[in-house]
Amino acid sequence: MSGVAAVSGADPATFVGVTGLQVDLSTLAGALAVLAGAYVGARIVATVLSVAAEYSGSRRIGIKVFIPVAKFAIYGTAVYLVLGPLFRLSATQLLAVSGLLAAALGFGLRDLAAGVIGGLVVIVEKPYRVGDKVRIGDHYGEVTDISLRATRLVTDDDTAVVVPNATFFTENVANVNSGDPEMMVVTELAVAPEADIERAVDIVEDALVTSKYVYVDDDHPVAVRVEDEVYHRTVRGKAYVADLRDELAFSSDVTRRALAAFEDAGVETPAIPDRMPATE
Amino acid sequence: MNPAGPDGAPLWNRRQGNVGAGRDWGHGRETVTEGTAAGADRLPGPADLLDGSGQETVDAVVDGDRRGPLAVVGSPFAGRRVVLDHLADRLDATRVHVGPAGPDHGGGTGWAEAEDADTGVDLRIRTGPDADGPGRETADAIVDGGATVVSGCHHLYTRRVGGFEPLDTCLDAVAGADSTVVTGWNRYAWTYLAAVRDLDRAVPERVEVGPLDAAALSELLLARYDDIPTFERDDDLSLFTRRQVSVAGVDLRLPALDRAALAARRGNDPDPRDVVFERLAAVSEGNAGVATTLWERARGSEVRPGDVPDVDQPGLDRETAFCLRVVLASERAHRADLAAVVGDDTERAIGRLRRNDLVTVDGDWVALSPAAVPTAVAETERERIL
Repeated sequence: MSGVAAVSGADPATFVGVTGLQVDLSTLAGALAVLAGAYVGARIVATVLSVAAEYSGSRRIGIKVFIPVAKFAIYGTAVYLVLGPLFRLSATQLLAVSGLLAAALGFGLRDLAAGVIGGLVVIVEKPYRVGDKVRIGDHYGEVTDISLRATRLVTDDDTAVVVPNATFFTENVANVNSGDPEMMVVTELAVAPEADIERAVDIVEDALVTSKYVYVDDDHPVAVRVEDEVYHRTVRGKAYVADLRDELAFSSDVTRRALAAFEDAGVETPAIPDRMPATE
Repeated sequence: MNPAGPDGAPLWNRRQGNVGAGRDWGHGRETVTEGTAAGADRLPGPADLLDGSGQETVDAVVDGDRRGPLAVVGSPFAGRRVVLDHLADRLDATRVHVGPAGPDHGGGTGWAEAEDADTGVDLRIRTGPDADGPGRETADAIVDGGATVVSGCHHLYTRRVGGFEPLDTCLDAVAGADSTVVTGWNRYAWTYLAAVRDLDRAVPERVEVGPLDAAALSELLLARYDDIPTFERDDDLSLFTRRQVSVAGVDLRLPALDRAALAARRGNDPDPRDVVFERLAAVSEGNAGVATTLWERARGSEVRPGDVPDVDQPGLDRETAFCLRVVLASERAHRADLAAVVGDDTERAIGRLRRNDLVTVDGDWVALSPAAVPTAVAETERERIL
């Protein structure tokens, strides 16, 4: 067998060896130093890019897209530096190690490998980037980090959710802003069937365009739609916010001011019906 | 086209600029350190304040080739009034001014002051919390017949639910007018209203006031005094300034190499005066009123490029920046109107703006400070407030 064997009579610093693979304390220390340096370097680069992105306002997402790319590059380089000198293998040895690696991936590290490959696909295909607002499965929030294994979201309730990158292969991913700082926010208000619907539409439109968070231009128009429901009518206002982080603040601002204006203008909101429809 | 006067000389001679002659070249509350006003008749005329196409448009309206409606759009203190007065004079038009009630803030720069002065105005329509139908009054003035020049149209709306009704009433009258109607607008109010109310479709013909380049500012400002200050080199001057660049419709203030400062540092520029006025033009973005205020602050027996302050960016929070944007777009507003727009944080926001010398407060009235325009623009556009 040309596999792992204890080395007797060799350099005392060498405690384990694979034929063609020599691991001694200095090699191990060097590898640890490289990995630690990569970790620190990745953190520094991520921090610097994050600070620069937050300062740059509307270009925030465009800068943050480089964070996972930089981390992948740094960790990839570190792995190469660690394993390169270790594995100077012949073709036969390479085959043997590959077999071992395949077995390891198949049995124990399958999820980790799927996560890493998913991360690479996320980097290359860009279904979302750091800073985007996405819905992955049941989770909706802002992407704050894309690491080797997983994507981290922060929900509107300030809960951090770690989603394995492999989820990208099995779940639908909805990206509400696709790398832009602006995002559409839909605000719904209900009015009574007998209410002055034209007045209600005017009020909702005014509430949208006068908000401090709104962003309007030819590519980001404002629209108000009316839908007739069973017991009420829904006035649905659609407008963009300049910064996707203002999504909830905008929606709340518009709702609050529109409801106040409904009351001032005598636009009735729906009452609870006397009898609810029978449910099956 | 530049029409000729009776003597055959162009009416719009950059050296003459006599449209505003005789008006006060005041400096509001800014302190004049020394020197005497020598060039009181050297006021900017429309030729100073409009580019070639703008002048052609104005000429066409004056000559009757176009009946409008025409919008004259400019930044605060940039000199809209000069162009509007010129048009009123040439069209023999009824001069209407829409503006908030209350005391004049006195923070302007004479000719380029916010359009609050009553001089030469046939009808002044008051706005504010107690105003009674400014939109209807303006519309009546427009439909009464004859050419009409209306300044201060940005006071016809309030940024709140139901706040556009006076504006809509006025625009209906403008659309239906048989005679020439010229309207004056604050640039930032225009941008907002064009985005949310399609104002640029209601008034498709538009001329922009400014900006002035360094040479024009130098000529304009130095002509005022008998004693010209000594211009000294400033070796410590920053090589970078900020310039406004429009990228995909978004105005950004990006760092830019100050070529005049670079030339001065290399010793290639024998005249630091050029450096001073290049810097003044960059900081003020060619806004004549802002440049005048900054110049008055910098002026002494010696002037160095470093005496022209860079754009300050105090880092305002969102509510304060929004309040500042509302003041920037209205130039002067009543506290009650601001409270209706900004909400519960209005008083604290006004306090922060006042402490940063961005606004002046006179009783219930809040006014934009001329020197604060570059900061107000930079701060609010950094937050991408419309």
